[in-house]
Amino acid sequence: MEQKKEWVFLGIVIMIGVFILTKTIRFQGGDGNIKVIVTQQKGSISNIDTPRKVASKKTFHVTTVNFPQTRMLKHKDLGETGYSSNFFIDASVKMEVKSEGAYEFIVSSDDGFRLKIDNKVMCEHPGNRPMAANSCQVHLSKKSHLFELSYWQGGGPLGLIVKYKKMDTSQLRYVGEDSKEITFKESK
Amino acid sequence: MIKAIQENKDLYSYGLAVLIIAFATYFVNYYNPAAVFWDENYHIASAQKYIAGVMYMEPHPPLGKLFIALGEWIVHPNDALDLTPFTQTDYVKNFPKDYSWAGVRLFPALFGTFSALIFFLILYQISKRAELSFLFSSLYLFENAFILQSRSAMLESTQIFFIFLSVLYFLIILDKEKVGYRHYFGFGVMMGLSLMIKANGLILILLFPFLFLYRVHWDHGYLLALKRFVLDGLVILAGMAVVVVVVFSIHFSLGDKVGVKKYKASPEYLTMIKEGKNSNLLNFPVMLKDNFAYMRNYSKGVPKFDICKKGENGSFVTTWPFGNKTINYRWSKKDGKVSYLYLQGNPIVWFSVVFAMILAITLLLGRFIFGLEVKDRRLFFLTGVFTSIYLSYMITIYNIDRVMYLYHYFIPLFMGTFVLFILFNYLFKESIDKGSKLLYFAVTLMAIEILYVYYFFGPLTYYKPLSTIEFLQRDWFDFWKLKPIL
Repeated sequence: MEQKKEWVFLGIVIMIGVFILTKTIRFQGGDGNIKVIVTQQKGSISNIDTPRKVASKKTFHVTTVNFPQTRMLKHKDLGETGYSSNFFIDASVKMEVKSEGAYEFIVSSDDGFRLKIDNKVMCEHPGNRPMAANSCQVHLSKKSHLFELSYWQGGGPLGLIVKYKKMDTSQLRYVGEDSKEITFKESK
Repeated sequence: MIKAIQENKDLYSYGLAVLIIAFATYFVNYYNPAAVFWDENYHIASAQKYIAGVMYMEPHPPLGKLFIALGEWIVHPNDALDLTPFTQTDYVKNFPKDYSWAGVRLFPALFGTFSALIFFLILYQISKRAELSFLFSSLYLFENAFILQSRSAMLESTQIFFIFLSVLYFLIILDKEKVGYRHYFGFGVMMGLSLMIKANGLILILLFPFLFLYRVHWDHGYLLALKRFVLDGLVILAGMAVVVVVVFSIHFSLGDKVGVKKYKASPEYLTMIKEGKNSNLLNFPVMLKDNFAYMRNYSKGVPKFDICKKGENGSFVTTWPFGNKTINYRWSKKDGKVSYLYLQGNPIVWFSVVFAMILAITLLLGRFIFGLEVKDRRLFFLTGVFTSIYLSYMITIYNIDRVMYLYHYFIPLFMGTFVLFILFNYLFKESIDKGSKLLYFAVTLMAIEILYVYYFFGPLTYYKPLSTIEFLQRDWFDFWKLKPIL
């Protein structure tokens, strides 16, 4: 009985150790394929084309474009980032399309965004708005495509979530999550 | 005999090791960063008034600030500077360029360091095992938030030192065969010292009824027991009263000039200062009354906790055990990296205490509700003592309206570490007696984990630069509310 308790205690200590290692060794926020540049604006932003006056700029790497609706920019890979108002996000990632066809990208944002694929604007909401979604349909050939998304936040609540699916399928995935049709790779 | 000598040798060697490690974690470079943070603005203003002999009043009792002043007076590193402006305000905004912190932070850092030794001795008094006490001392030696608080001209480390002394004294007299009035008086003095730093030190008074319950002989009759309780209690109160009188007398006698502010002192008090009668004990009641009136009045003006307020640093008592909310005391940017002084605890220590408290409450309920057998009366009793203090403190704070901060949790946190250690001894009594290698291996591994996590969070404790990603790596839980400076 005594030895059993000792093993249980050792087990707990080892589990704590594993938890510590996953929290400290794993390079959080640095191993995603999606490059995200967050630019803090000097002054206020009113739409996606507001001239940029850079107060500070930070680059992160995340696994998905999924910044949930809240009052401070957060991501599961990063935690709370400290950004809450008047900033831009520029996200980019390379898409390896394995199955040619029509795709749907659903961009939910608060405030506005502009989505480009291979440097062509596919979809946008340049102005201010509460969290709302746009559906953007795009034909993608079987090759590598560059996904680029710009987003801006003025004040108040914020959020940015982008999902995709092939039109003839039903399962929506976050941009960044590989599927049978698309794999994501870091853009150079 | 040989065993006793060996035990003493172990006690001294491990005690020395604890002191050396504490010196490295708590004391080395204590005067850096050379910049003010959090309440230092207030306490340094108070300390300088003692040095300059200017009367002042403040919401906290005087002893902690007297020690801050004593450090400055002994080291006197700022003799070449004109610090008169410090005595004309209660909040120093601008510090001279060459101001040194070696004096004002000396005693808090020393108390933080020596508390490690007292912590170790408390554990030793509980278990009588030096090596086990040494390993569990890692709970104190590598507690990031308390290290940061101790390396500042603030009050918490001084108070914790006297709280630990009171706890150690309590444990010593608990096991003593004969306890006389002088012991109770000494106990009162120890508790009085912690009370004279911050009023929340009063929680220690709970130790007395426990001491009484443990030692009382009911077979001599209830009336005699009650008489004993009243008399011993009065002696403890006398010990505390002596400390209150001595500390406040020093406070009054050092304030022999009236400065820019008069702190609503009564005309009688001002006349006493003018006539140089502020050191006269006969005038003590008037001066004490004025000081208490100021304290009462001041506390009425302290804001309430407002979670919706932008930049609110206060937090709700029930969230403290989980580390909510951390406080960014100070930061500075250089070469794209940011250095922080962040009140962030060692999560392994803090969560271990949560675990210990759940286990302790379960054990106590198991005994009192389900009649669970008590394996070791003394250890079971001690679990009850420290769990009660922990819960009483939290319930008391819960009922206080004013804004409170995470560092108000240090007292229950350390009570929780004692509970953890007691429970460990209670649960593994037989294995410890047998000297189980497996158990000692597990405890050593736990101490290494605490050390490693301390090292990982060290940059937030010691003002070491971090990139945003490195900072975010330390943001383990949203409820800590760590926020990087961008």
